[in-house]
Amino acid sequence: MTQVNITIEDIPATTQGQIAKIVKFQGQLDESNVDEKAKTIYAVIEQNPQNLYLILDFEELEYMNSKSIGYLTDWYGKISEGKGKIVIAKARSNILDILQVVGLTQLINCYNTLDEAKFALLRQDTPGAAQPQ
Amino acid sequence: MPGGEFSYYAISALLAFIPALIWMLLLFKRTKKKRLQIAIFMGGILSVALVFALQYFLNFFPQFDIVNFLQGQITNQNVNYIILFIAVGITEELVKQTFVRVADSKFLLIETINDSIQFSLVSALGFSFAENIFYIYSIWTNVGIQQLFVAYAFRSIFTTCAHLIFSGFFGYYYGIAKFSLNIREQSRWIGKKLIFTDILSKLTGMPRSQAYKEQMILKGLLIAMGLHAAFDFLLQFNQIIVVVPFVLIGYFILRHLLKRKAGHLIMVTDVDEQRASTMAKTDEEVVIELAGMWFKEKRYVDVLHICERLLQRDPDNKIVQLFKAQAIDKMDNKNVYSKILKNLFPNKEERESIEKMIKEKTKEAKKNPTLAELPKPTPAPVATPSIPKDTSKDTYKL
Repeated sequence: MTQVNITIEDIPATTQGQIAKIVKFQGQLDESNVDEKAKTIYAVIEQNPQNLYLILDFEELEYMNSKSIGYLTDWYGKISEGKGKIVIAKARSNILDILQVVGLTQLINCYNTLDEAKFALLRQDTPGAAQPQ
Repeated sequence: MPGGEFSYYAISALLAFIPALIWMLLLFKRTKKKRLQIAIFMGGILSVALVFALQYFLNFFPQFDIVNFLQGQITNQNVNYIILFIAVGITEELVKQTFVRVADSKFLLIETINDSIQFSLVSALGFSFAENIFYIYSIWTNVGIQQLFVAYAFRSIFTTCAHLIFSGFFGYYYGIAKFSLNIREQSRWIGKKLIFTDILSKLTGMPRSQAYKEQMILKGLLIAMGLHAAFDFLLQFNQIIVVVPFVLIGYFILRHLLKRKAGHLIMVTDVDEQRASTMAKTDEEVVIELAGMWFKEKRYVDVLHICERLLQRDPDNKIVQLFKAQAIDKMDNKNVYSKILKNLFPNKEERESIEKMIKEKTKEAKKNPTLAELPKPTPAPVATPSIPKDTSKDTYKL
């Protein structure tokens, strides 16, 4: 089985009822581990069905296969249904390239740094906040 | 009298040519390669000579006449008819295709699956025209001119149409076999299990790609031959009421196959003119794998969008082109022939899935018009919000 680690860290929310977390991926998401690891994210979504704000930190994610992209779209759907938001931070160029061709960058915004991602994610509901390009 | 016989043949040829011309005009209506198709039509006429040659050979060497041998062993007349019609089906279907296959192997005429169907149809028309000359002559001289009209009308419409349909199916599978490399590759991404191909490959020791090719040709031949034998068998017992819908259903299915986008796709690749992909191979494979996964899940709109974007990066990728064409074909439920096919072979689950998806996507596109537009191949859209340098002045918390 290919090695992949997922660590979840809480971050302070800006509004009441908002639950914000950073999910850090390390390693490679492939056929051997993706189903198992996806359960971790589904568990977070199930625990927080409403107003969940997630930053997916892809800095140390080296590879993601088609199934993991499929899961990503599903997480996006579920979180959006619960009036939450999801963004991606620090994705490598190869992963960003795949996400762009798949069309996911039109749905999930991608940011160069964690600070930018945090700022954008938690500020989006504030009137006059900067919108991603 | 030799002169009189020639006149009968000449008039028979003229009579046979009238429906052939009408069919030819119908077949040539949407094609640009008219000269080439006239040559194929002529080839189809000449291919009748192969049947005569075979007959001549069997007359001289009756020990090779397997049909005669089998019929001698079986007393049941119906079984004998089945054996005869299967033999006729195999012979005629192989002979009708001979000219197209030989010409294609020398001049690479076939560039799309539809080319393969179209050329098979034209070749079959040539064969049917030549066959009709002999039938008209035979009925006229043996039965009489009074009986000729009904037989002539039936042969001109239904028998000729049946010949075209049988060959059209063979042409379709021949086209798939010809472009099996890309088609098999695409099937692999969808996750289709090619069990028969694996068995054939193991039994014969052929590479899997070759085994798939042979399997498709065999499938086409079996379908064409089976339909041909069934048609002859029904005619033998004057089952006209069954023959007419039999031919009509075959016609609609073939029309549907000819209208498919995947059939129009040019599958021949000129390596010198092929543009290189601007995406890394492993990354591209991830996207193609995703397209295959979603295709399997019947998410055709999503497959179409992925393919559009990927083709901007790798415009000559045949697998992606195939996925795109097939996704469009699956969504094309406005097509009248698709509707007829759906009534004939209903697949409720698939139809409901497509309808639901189209409704969802239309709703989504109305809500957010930017989603419906396809992005241009620009560098990755990394958002860069402006973060104020002095965060103490802001009210947000990090």
